[in-house]
Amino acid sequence: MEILDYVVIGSGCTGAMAAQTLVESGVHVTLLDAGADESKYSSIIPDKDYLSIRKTEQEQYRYLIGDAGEGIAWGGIKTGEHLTPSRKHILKWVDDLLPIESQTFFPMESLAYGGLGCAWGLGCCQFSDVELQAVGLNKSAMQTAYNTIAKRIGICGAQDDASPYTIGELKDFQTAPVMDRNHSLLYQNYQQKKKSFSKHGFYMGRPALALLTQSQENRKAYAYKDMDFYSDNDESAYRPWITINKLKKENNFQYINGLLFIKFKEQTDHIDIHCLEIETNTPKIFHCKKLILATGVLGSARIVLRSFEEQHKTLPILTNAYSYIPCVQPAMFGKEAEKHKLGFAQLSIFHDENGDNMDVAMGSIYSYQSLMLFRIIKEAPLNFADARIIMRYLMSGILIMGLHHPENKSATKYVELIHDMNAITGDKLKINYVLDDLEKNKISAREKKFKSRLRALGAYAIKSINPGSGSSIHYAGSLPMDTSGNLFTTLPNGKLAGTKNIFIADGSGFNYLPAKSLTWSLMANAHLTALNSLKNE
Amino acid sequence: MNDFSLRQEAQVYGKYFLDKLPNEQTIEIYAQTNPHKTSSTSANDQKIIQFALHHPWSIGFLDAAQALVKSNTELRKRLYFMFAILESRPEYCSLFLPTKRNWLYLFFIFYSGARSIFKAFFGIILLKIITRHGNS
Repeated sequence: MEILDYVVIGSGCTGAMAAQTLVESGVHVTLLDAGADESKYSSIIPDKDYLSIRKTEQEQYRYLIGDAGEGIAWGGIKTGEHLTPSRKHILKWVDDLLPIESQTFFPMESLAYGGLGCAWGLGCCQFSDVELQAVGLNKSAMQTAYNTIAKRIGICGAQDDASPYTIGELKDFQTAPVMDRNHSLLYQNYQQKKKSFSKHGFYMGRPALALLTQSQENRKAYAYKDMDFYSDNDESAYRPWITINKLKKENNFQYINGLLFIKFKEQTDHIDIHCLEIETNTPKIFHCKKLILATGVLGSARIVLRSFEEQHKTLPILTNAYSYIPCVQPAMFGKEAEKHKLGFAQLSIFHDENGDNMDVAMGSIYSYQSLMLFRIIKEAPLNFADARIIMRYLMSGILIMGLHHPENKSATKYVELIHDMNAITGDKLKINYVLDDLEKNKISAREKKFKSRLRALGAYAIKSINPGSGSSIHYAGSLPMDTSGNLFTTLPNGKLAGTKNIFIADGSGFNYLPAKSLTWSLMANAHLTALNSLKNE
Repeated sequence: MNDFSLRQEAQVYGKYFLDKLPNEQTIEIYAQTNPHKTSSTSANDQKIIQFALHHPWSIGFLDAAQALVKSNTELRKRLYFMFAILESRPEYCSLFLPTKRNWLYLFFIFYSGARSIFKAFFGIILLKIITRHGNS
């Protein structure tokens, strides 16, 4: 029986960072992964800017809308349906292998090579000291970990009014990318009104992004091709598979894909890892000394509930309430399309009502161009032919704000594992998620304040679209961190309570979920958890 | 029930957007993506689609009316597919990409909006007639 040293499960942002930390420390690491990949479309996307592609490429329909029209979402839209064809693999196998039953919660999970990180919007925010305390994380250790992760993935940003919420105390970062005309105008208006904004607790600035604006190793500087929703051609945007590809060249690392991790069983001197080979549906068992779960919050909940074989046990769940708000900036109407453009968020706006960097809501602002007219045209209550004329004119002045709200635990938000004989794994996750009236009112009041601030900048909200709970794709808190050692909790060092050598590297231990972009913090925590797993505590 | 092939349908819907027949590749892509494949079309939807295909002049009215009263219909779905396909063809990209306009163009924008609302009112009447009396 071969006993592996360290096994990491999952190749998303947290799995990649945990694996890198372990590999760099010199131990032998095996990463087990489902690893759904995409090559059909990514290989045919030319290395050109979006407008050149639109004007010249005959094959563009293949990667813009898909060979079978899979990029055209119509009717009731599920979370993730808006993914472009070259990103659809993120959802491959998920419905079959990770079934969920819920009327109130619509999450997105991934079994892709690189996990949800393949579609990450690259937003990076440091949690403040008070937020870290509420989450349950050590302040000084996290500060060091933020720096380590920033060096690995490459972060750009700016020192401005928003930097206490974005780049935080990070000193070494690349310059922020150049803004397009739409954002430049909005930001100019903000500069003139910033006093009034700060009086209301609002701060605007450049977001920190895991994006290179200067080349680094084999990754090129961002070239403003505006193909960010379709292609990672120059690897300027950080994706977890960049790390895994690099680790594959190391002697102390092996990557095994095609596996769905089912459960673990801790024996006296090793851990049994029960998997399912996805192609053949046959069980496969690995053995290891230490196990690091980086399967995402819902994935970890599933696995831990299955492994502890506790019936009717419910676990808490946290997610940021999320809505997106299309706005128009009339001063930008009737402008021609911009050739050099950025698809990621170009401005962030934070609402820090109490001025203590706690309970902060975050808006990320995007321009609208490369996702094409057809995705927004159906929102107009007009016939498509006339809507085309109008939306084409408005397009250069459209801004989309994605708005995230912070989240606390409550008894009406939980997950449980129930039997399902139709599921391949014999079970499914049942999720109940209900916001109370107080929470709903607070979210609604805050949304109104954000809209009012945008109005003050000359951008007018058309409507608010609430895609449903879970659509923020930010999840946390199913195995909350504490020192009690009770089952279904995580110890402060990342170890799963009740086990000797099993660690949780994703956000399952977070006791509070700030509204700020959370991936940088997840990766920093994964790095610390991996370091802790190296100690014999 | 459906006496129009996917290719014929593509011609009708393409012409609605372009005021001329779409090119062969566009028709081919429409047939290939086949918006019917995930449909569960109701009897009323079928009547409306058949009427629209036999009377292409009515599409603007039916589209406008459904956009106002019930936007997720089968006819709108098929038009939406054609819209997305046309948008991803280099031959027609100039119809979709933003272009420089002076402020006088705003009058045309208001006119287009008003035209759609007018079409919607007429379309609502048309929808009632079609769903009551079939596609004759």
